[in-house]
Amino acid sequence: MRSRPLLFATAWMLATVPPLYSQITAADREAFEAAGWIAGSLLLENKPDVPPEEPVEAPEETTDDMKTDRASEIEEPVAEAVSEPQFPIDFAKRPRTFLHDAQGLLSPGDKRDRLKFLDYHAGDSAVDLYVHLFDKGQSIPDPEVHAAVLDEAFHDGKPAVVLVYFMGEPQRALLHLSPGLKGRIAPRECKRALESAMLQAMEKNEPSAQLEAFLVQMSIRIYWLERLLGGEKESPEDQPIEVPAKVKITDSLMTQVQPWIDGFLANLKWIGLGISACISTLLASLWWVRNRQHRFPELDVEPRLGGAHGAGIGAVISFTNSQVPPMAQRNQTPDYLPR
Amino acid sequence: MRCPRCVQRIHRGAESCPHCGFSLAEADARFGSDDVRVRTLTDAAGLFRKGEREHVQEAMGRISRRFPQLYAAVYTGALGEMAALRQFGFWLINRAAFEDLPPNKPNAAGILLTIDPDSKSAGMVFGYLLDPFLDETDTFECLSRGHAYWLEQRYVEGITRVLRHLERVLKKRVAQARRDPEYFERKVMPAAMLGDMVCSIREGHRETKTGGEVRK
Repeated sequence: MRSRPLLFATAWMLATVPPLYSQITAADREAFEAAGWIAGSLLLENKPDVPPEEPVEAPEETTDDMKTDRASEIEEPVAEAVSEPQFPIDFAKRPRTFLHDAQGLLSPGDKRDRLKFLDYHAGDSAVDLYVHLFDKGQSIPDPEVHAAVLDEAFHDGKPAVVLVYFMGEPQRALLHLSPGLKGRIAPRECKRALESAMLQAMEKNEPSAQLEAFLVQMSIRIYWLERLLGGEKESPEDQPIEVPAKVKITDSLMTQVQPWIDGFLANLKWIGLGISACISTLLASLWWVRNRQHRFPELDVEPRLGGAHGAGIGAVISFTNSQVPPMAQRNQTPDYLPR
Repeated sequence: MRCPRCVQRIHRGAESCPHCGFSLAEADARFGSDDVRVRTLTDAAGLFRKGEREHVQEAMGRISRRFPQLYAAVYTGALGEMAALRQFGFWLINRAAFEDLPPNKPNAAGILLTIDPDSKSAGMVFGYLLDPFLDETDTFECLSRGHAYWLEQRYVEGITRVLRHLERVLKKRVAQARRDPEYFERKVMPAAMLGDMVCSIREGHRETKTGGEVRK
């Protein structure tokens, strides 16, 4: 209680002392700014000199399936629009390499590894995977125009999947199908592929490792999309897809077996009925055989030994000694003959 | 068939055993001349435990179901010697009045299994209805099926085995009778008819009054 006035006095003194920033003169400030920056200016200034940020244009949600397929519904960070002068990526034609890193976001080693993987994927798959890399926080200015440009660029040639990937933000990745694949792959399948790849990428911390995991999983999912494509009938306007030999064999087998399966399914009711009838007949026959009644012909037999119903001894067996088997008792002999 | 006492073969229609003179009258003198009222399953020796009678009755009832003319009966009791068992079986199938049998089933349609736990012997006799179709070999084969169980005093299992095999034998004999009924008819043909057949053949070898020629 005695120290309370002392505490009040100390607080008053601290409140009346002007901040350090206000002690810097205008000349000093200019000198410091010319040298680079003023330490603590962001914390101590009342009004920072940083100009206010421009209003951020959030990416528009469109009805186009591939443009709006986001990996998740995670709240997006404020994105910076990508402008043509900043990132001179030419979307109007098919890139020569599968990895397009115009901003140099990847180290040379990582870029070489990712490119090598994408080349390997292109050699093994009927669907190429192209990747456009953007930095974190950037965004596509006009997604509809971007999609139209990509459609024009990938209209001819091998079917391809174009991935727009934002470094460090795998959940913002966009997937674009070439016109030859659109309509043949359901949007939900693409969404699943994106989600799967995003989940794999989110397990990593490093943006480069995230990209690697994302691409590996996307390559796997593209393989399954190819399987889906292999199961459907090709229409004339679709571009031919080079399907691996293994898938071709499976398709031809399925084509041969499919009529049988269809016929079997169509007649399943009758087949089941026939099998049931056979089983019922078999069971009834078994029951009849097991419970069939037999009758002996009744013949007149002369009575013997004064017996009105039967005579004779039939057979007698002794089970006194286990050492005497039944076979030894077959010939019956009189063992007792009282008179 | 054989005589229940001397086990010698006797011919058809014999009023008594030509070897020892045994007949039903002698059995009556030993076991009683009046009919005895018994059930088809009579456990006078007390061999069956609670719940075991149903197993035996099920096996007996199965024979009645498969062969509606026939019935099976089981009697257990102490009779003394094996010879007594033979005579007792013969006597019981002629003197028994089975209470649980319908009146239209005569004793001649029965198969009687007798077990004597004292003398450790079992016998099987049958009535005249089965006389053409069964013989001692068949009944002995049936009894052999229960021998191993009776040695261990597992009487119920032995009886069910015997009755199950008897069912198979009867089924086989029915099939044979259906295929070749004359074979069984000849077995029970009266001796007089057999004599006539011999006479007619011999007559064929004699000189006939009309032709005067001799056939060989």
